[in-house]
Parts: sequence; C-alpha cells; structure tokens
Amino acid sequence: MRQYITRRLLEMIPVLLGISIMIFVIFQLAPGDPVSAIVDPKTSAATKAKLREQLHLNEPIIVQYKYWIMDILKGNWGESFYYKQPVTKVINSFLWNSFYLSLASFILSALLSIPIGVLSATKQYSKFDYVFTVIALIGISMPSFFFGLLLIKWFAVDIKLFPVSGMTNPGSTATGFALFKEVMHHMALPLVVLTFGSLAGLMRYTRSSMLEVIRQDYIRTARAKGLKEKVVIYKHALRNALIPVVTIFGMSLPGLFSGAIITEQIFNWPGIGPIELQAVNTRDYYLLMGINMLLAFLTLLGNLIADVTYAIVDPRIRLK
Amino acid sequence: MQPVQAKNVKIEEEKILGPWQLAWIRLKRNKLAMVGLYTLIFMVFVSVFGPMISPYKMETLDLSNISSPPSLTHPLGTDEVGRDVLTRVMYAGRISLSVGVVAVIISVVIGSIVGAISGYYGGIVDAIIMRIVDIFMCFPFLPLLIMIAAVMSDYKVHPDYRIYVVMFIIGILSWPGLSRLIRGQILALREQEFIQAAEALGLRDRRKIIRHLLPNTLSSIIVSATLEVAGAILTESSLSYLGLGVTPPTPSWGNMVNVVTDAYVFQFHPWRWVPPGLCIFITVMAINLLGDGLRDALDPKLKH
Amino acid sequence: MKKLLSLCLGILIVVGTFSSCAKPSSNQGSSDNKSLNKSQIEIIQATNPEKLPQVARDRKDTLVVGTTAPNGTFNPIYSSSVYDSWVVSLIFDGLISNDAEGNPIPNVAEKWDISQDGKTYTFYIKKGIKFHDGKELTAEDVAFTFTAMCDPNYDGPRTDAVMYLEGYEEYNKDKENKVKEVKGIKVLDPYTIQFTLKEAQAPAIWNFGYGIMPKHYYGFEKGNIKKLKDLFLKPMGSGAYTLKNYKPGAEVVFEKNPNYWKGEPKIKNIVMKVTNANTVVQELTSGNVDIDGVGKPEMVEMIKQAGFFNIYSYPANSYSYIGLNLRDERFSDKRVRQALMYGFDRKGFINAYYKGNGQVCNAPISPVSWAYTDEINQYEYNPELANKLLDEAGWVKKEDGFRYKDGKKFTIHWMTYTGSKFVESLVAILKDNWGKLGIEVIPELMEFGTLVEKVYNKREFEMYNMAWSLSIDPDPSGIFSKAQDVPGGNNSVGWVNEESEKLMKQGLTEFNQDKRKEIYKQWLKLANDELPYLFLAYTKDNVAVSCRVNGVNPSPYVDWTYDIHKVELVDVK
Repeated sequence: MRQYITRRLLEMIPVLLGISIMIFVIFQLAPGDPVSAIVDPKTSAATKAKLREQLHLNEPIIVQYKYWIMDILKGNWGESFYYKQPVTKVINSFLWNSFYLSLASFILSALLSIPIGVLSATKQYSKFDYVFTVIALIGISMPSFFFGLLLIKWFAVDIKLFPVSGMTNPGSTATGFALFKEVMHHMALPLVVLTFGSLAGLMRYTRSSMLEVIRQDYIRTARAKGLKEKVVIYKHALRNALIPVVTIFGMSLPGLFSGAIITEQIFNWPGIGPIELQAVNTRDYYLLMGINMLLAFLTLLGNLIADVTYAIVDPRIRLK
Repeated sequence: MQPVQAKNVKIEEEKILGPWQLAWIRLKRNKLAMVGLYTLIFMVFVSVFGPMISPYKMETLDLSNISSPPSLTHPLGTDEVGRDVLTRVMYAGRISLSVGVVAVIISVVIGSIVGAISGYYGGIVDAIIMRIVDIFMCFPFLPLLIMIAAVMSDYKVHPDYRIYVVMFIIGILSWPGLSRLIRGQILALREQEFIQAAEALGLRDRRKIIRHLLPNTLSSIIVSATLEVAGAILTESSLSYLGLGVTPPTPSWGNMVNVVTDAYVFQFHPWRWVPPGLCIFITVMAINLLGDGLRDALDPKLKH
Repeated sequence: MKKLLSLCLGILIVVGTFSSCAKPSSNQGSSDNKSLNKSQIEIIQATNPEKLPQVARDRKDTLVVGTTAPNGTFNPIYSSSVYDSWVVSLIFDGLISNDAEGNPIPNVAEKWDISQDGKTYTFYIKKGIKFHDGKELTAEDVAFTFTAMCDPNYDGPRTDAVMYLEGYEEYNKDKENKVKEVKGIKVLDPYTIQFTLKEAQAPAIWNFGYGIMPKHYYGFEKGNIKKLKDLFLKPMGSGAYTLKNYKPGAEVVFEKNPNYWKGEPKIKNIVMKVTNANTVVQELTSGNVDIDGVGKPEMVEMIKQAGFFNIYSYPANSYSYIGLNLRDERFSDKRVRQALMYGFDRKGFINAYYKGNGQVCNAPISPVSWAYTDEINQYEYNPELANKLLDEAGWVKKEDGFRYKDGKKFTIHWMTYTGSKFVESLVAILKDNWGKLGIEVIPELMEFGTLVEKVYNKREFEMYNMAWSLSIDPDPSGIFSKAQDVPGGNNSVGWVNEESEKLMKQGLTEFNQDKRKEIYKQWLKLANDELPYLFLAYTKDNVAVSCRVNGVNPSPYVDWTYDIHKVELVDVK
C-alpha cells in the first residue's frame, strides 16, 4: 500500500507539470491580456505598450512560461497584475474564508445526506423517501442565488435573526470564542444555501447504491442468518454502498478550497470564488495560474485519497 | 453488442419475453415512472408546438406594456420589454430540453464507457486513463470556453448555431466525474462472484462489461444523469456569459430564471422567474421518476 | 460540472449588476470625478426619520459606507478602482482638489501659478501640515511622489499624468541609475515646488491632485518600487483618517486622525463594508449601512419607502454609445449614421429601460460638465427621415423588406457583451427598430475581455456598444484624436476629422474657460452632426445617505469622502 501511494505521489509531478503547461497555454490563447483589460481615456496606447513590455507580454508563450516556471522553482509564484501583490499573498487572504464555509457545509451535508440516503433506500417508495427526493431535487433545480435571496429576506430582513451579509460585524475586533460565535452567526445562512444545493447528489447516490447492495445475495444471507436488521444495514450493506460516496468525497476536495462563487457573492463572504472570477475577467495570468495549480494539486490528491479509501471500504479491491 | 443481443432475443422469444420487452412491461406497471414519462412527453410537446399556436412571437416587443402581471391576454405576464412570458417559456423549453438531454447523453456514454474500461482492466490501462481523467478535471474551463467562443466568432459561426456546440461542450465537460464513479464501482464489482463465474465461462471482455458490469452500475448512472440534466440546463445560461450560450432575444429557461438576481424582479415580478424555474424543476423531477422506474425495470436481479 | 456552473453563474451576477455599462477605472485618483450644475442634483428627503432602525442609532461613533470590494492597492499612485481611491482619499491629501462644480481648489497647496506659456506650474505648500507620524509635509515629499510615478519599474495606472514632464523619458528609460532626478520636477524651497511640462495643456492641472506620500516613510532606491507595494496595507499620509484594519473582500476600517490639519474629524470610526447590488436594499433598510449607491430606479423606490434616507440623484459623468467602424464604407457615409440615429427610438428605449433614471445623449460630453451644450440636433425618432436618408445613400428596399446596395444586403454584425440586462433590452429594441428600416441586425454576445480585445486591439468589428466614464476636464482628445487611432488606442471607430483635430487642439491649449467653452461648443456641434458614435444615454447615479449622517452631499464630482472631517453623525428622534 505504501509503495502504491509513493508511486502515485511521484506520478503527480509530471502530471502537474503537464497540467501547468496546458493551463498556461490556454490562458494565453484566450483573447486579451492583463493590459488590454484597461480601457480608460486617461491611458494612452503608448502607456499600454510600455506596460506590456514590462510584463513580458510581447514575448512568445514559451519564453513567458519559462519565466514563470523558473520563478516557481525558486518558490516565487509571481505577482498578481491586478492586485500588485504576490500571488500567494492574495490567495492566502481569501482561501481560508472559503475553506471554513465549504468545510462546514461539507460536514453538514455528509451528516444529513448519508443517513437520509440509507433510510430512503431501506424504506424505498415510502413517504419519507418521496419527501426527501422532492426536497433534494428542488435543491438542485433551484439556483442558489434565488435561495440565498429568499433566506436573506426571511431571516435577515423580516425577522432579523441573522445578518444580511459579511463574515463579522462591521468594524468588529472580536477574537477567540467571541470571534468564532460571530463568524458562526454570519455563516448560518450561506451554510444553509450551500448545504441545500449539495445535499441532492450525496443523498441520491447513497440511496441508489444502497438499494443496489441490499438486493445482493450476501445481504440476503446475512438476514437469513438471523442478524438484526440494523446490523445488516449499517455493518454489512452500508460499507459496500459507500464506494460512490467515497468517489464523490474525493472529488469534493478541490471544491473545499475553490470557493462557492454565487453564495459567497450574495452573502459578501470574502472567499476565493469571486477572486478567481475577477482574475479571469482581468486576465490576471499569474493569479489564475496560482489558483488553478493549487486546485489541480488538490484534484489529484482527492482522487488518490478516494482510490486508497476504496481498498479500505472494500478489501476485495486490490490496488496495483 | 447488437448481434449478440439480437441473437439472444430470438432464442428467448419463443419461451418468454425479451429483456427489453420485459423491462417495458415492468416500467408500465410503475405508475410514478409513467407519470415522469408522460410529463416529459408533455413538456416536449408543448415546447415544440406551443410557440406555433401562440399569438405572440418570442421576440415581439410591446414597450407600452412592460413587466405587466399575468392577465387574460398574457397568461404569465410580460417581461421588461413587454414580451409574452408564456411564449418565451415554451420557446425556451426547446433550447433547454435539448441542451439538457443531448449533453447528458454525451456525458453518460463517454463517462460510463471510459469508467468501465478503466475499472475492468485495471493496472496500466487504469493508471493511464485515470491520469487523463485527472488532467481533464484540472482543465481551466472558463478561459478555455472564452477561447472557443472567440474562435467561433472569428470564423463567423452564426450565433444561432452555437447552441449545438454548447450541448457538446457541456457533455464533454461533465464526463470525468461520472467515469470515476463508474470505475470505483466496477473495481468492486469485478471481484464479485458473478463476474468470476463469467470469467470461468470464458465470456469476452466486451460482453462482460456491457452485459454484466455496467447494468450493475445503472443506478449511479441514472442518478448522475438526473442531476446533470438540471446542471446542464442551468449551465447553458452561464455559458451565455462567455458568449457561448443562446443569444438574446432567444430565451432559455436558464437565462430566464436568472432575472431573479435583480432584487426588485425577485420581490415584485415573480411571474418572470417562477414559470421557468418550475419548468426546470418539473423536468428534473420527471427525469428522476422515470430514471428510478427504469432502474427497477432493468434490474437484472429482479425476477418478474 | 457543479464548479463550472457556479463559476459561470457567479460572473453573471458580477457583470449583470455592476457593469451594466462598461465602466473603466476612475481617472482622478485622490480627487475623484467631481463638478456641477446645481439644478441637476435631485434630493429626495427622508420622510420618516423616526423609522431609523435601532442598530443604526446604536452605532454612535461609527459611519458605515457600502462599497464594492477594493483591491487593497491603498497607494495614491497605484489605486485603480473607485473604491481604492476612496480609501486613498481618506488617508492622503493631494496638492489640489476640486469643488462640487469641478473647479480646481487649493488643498495641500495654498495657491499655484501657471506660467504665461502654460508649461510651468508652481505650487506653494501650506506650512504646518503633518503626516500621521507627526513629521511635516514638504516639497520634498511632493517631488518624491511624482518622481515615483516616473520610475522605470513603475507599473501603475498614472503614467499618463507624468509622461509630459520635462525629463520624463531620460529618467524613465535609464535603468543604470545614472539619471537621479526628473528635470521637470524642481524643489525651489521646502514649501515651493515647480513642475515643467514639455507642452502646454489646459487639463494638466488635474495631474497634480494625487495624494502625497511621505518620503521618509515610502522612500526607495530608484527602481525598487516594490517597497511601495509592500506598504500598500500600511499606508501613511496626511489625511483625515488612518487605516486601522483591512479584511480583504469584507471591510476597511478607519480611525480618525485627531491632529488633522484641516480640523479634527467629527466621526471616530469609518467602516467601508462590502455590499453587492443584490442585497444593497436589504443592507440599507435594515440599518446596517449608512451610505451606499443604489442602481435601479425600482430600488430607489424601495429605499424611499423606508423613509430614513436622503437620496441624492444626479447625472453621472459618463455616457453610453454605439460605435460603428468608420473604416467600413457603409458607415463612412454620414447619411447612414444619421439614418441609424433617426431610425432608433432612443427615448422610448431609455424611458422603458431606465424609467426616468436616464436621458437621451446626443454628444460625447456629460451634462454635468461646464462644456456641455444642448444647442445641438436632438435626433428625435423619425423613421421617415431615416428611410429617406438611406434611400439617398443608395440603399434600396427590396420585396423581402431589406435594403440592398450593389447587390449586398444591409446586415450589421453587432458585437456586444454578455451578462448585461441593458444589452439584452437594447438587442430586442434595435433588432425591431432597425429591422423596420430594412436593416438586419445580428447581435453576437461575447465576454467583455474578448470584446475589448476585438474592438480596441484588433479593431475587427462592424458595430459594438460600450460606455465611457469621463474625467473632470472635458477635453475629448483622449478618445477622439487621430493619435488614438492606433491599435490599443481609444479611437477604435477610426474617426479622423481635420476640423475636429483643430478644435480639440485649440481647446487643449486654451486656458481661459469661457473661450474653451466656446471652442467645445463648436466641437460638440461637429461631433453631433458627424456622429463618430451613435450616442445612447446619460444615466443617473443614486446615492442613499442615512438621515443620521450630516454633511455628506454627493454630486457628480464629489463623493462621500469630500470634506470628510466635517461630516457628523446626529441623533435622530
């Protein structure tokens, strides 16, 4: 097993290098560059030309990539054109806010959706099953900004239970537990929105995979042996039903860091989502590279973790 | 696959019904699935023929009658330039339904085949395919789509035809997730007794994958298809932002429902976003019901 | 998939709400765009101050202002967004500022002289102005600030403010550190500084409004401009407030500078809180935010209902337009441009879309400017005249209802940007209006960055639409001069007109405002007749100010940061 993990980790290096080349080229091929994003009667064509030269934007893609990769080897991720600050600093100041929110939502939706999924499967076509099927499907067909606005109207404006937006009170200087409480208070609404949107996937996969498993022969055998239904379901069936759930979990790892753009936008949650968007709009190459390479690494890592977990969940799976 | 199956049907025809006929009979018995099926047919029917019988065209303006609430002349009211919302919702259905269905078919076909191959063969094949999937999952789609949009514009592809490209792109974008899902399940399935039995029988790989492995992952495929239909319909509208979706004044459910971003419309003009929103929900619901029914009907383990 | 979806939908929100027209970055740095004709400001008074929520009443020493997230470039020579420049103008002071009418007024400089030839500017600095650390502001600091903009490695947005200084090229091109100073920047004594320009330009005075940085704090070796960037989040100037805390994407917190040279500010804390157009109404009416801009007229109505806001409504210093590629022989014909203008019901469109929050634009200067005139052709909707002009230009209507010339159908490929409700309405109306003239319009929507690339850099387009946000001086040569008719230049439509060149040149070198006004009047008449653009609309800005805030009077050239030390919070019964 250890050998397998080491090999996969080593494989990541060339894959990441390949991804970096691919991403870099795609960014450069998209029309426009950081300078052309400036449209201002006070900025003349001559000034723009000068800026392009300073930023090496006139040079061939290969040369520009070389500058970038050489800097990376020195541990320097470059400077964001838009923020005029080191890329790592920009990412760092938004990344964790996104992470806290996404992680909370991830945990909450896992805690809700797996048990609901299992119950829906064991009581297939019951009222319980239908109610949650409908709720889940509303969750995916309702745009999150709509749900967000609705919650703001009900809970922030009408009954004033939660703040409209932000992560802390304006001008707050709270620290420690007081800060935690404040953040939780602000997080409540966006958390509900995010969780509601992601509930459907996990719930439906758990349900369907559970249905699949409880029809299998060995479950019948287990029941025939006179094991308690609870033991049959939670000890024998669930374990095997988790394979798709594990896959989904693995794929959600980058999502924990990439930020939920719409929800963050509506609630002014200072996350990385809107930042990436702006970077695309302003063609902030280095910042985009930074964010995308981070997410690429997390994607690879998430898939690796999922692969390893398969073997734990189902010992028959052999990793080679 | 075709010849094998055809032979099968012929042999079994005498004694019992073929598996597809059997499935159809089972499906027909499932009332909810039939509700889903009829709803879908109804939606398609209204989208195709509705705009033809409507007294309005989807682009007819009426500046004297903007954002008016539902009335007898406009059953679902009018939008910000006085166009009839009902006509637009029906017209939008053509775009959204076809985008949803085509994109999901592409994604499901590629995703399940790639996932099955990877999971079944394992080893080096799996490693290579999964690295490709990894790379695909790391694609920076926004800039890529911006680039594709620009290229299409350079080649003067007529905006109305770009929607076909959009269907294709959404399909292509969403297969990697499904393929990992299928692969994971196949990894587990191929160690099970019935596959070992198939192995012992000396069945060909293709037959094993298509007849024995994939049907067992059908439930995941159906769930993912259901989820993706909703995703594709909403994604279409966001691709419009990149210059890839439908071009105004052509409506789609996604871009119609997007007007709720306007706080005022959200609060005071519900007739503009409730109908397209409901349409998305009903479609997804119908596909889900039908999907569940199909899964049960096609379940190889169930005896009729 | 889910990620892509959310990524894309997110953009829809940003673009849809914040850039219904393309708003380039602000141009005036510390002295944002300001000036005006009083009659154009409309103030809706609060009707029910007693409805002010308790939250707001309890916030006795803190003013909360809504903002779009600033970039954190808190430096007078680097700030590029309007929101960063708010931060900068609270912390820094410039040599000059401007009043509500858009005239230059003394600030750090008590007075200034402009030489006869218009090339030399001498500023006399007020004695006793202290930076936040107590050290005095002198001419050396001014010289340092302007020399920094000339630095070879300077990559901020202010280059055009210094590139006409004598000796700029020499200083800027020299990377070996041989040229130690810019010839055109001269410290005469600790309180007098002189700038020499290569050519006389009337708007040049506005280049001296940028905030002054203390040399002893920011000072850096030539070329090492990184030091300024490292200090973005620890700004120090001589302004009324100091930066207390910055949470990126969330808020900027300020504390008053009790020793402010214009007098101690009356409000202890100011918080710039990030809000968005989707929830701004909720933020305002629930009392969380005291001041914020409100976009749509419907939203203004909702704020009005709340009753405890004074709403300031005034024309923005900007206009929207349709650009036709004048290199295309169809559009080089003036009659065709005029026909398109007459054949488009702009008033109907603007009333329907802006609902009183916008007016028809007929010339490229905003009504807020002193140079504005309305003694020009109004291009009222007149389809008969439009048809006649098109007939004259040789475009003949055939049986299929479309116009043809030399066997070619009149079809316009129109490139525009996505995610904007404005564009969506415009598409619907133009297709309809021009379709009636016999012209087929094929709109193509693209992401804004792509559109900019095609229009300004490649200049491959038939027609596009955008908007200009203007600076305080009316000089139009930054947009319409022949010199800008190059790839990357602002004259993307390629309007080259000898008469216009002559007038713009005259306007640029004339220092007397009355005479300038006369020149611009002629120029506006010319532009109105020649139609380098098909002008669309002037829009209004609406700012809601809570009735507990006293002394904030926003207008086109003056934002809430103006005279901030005089602003106070009052108890409302």
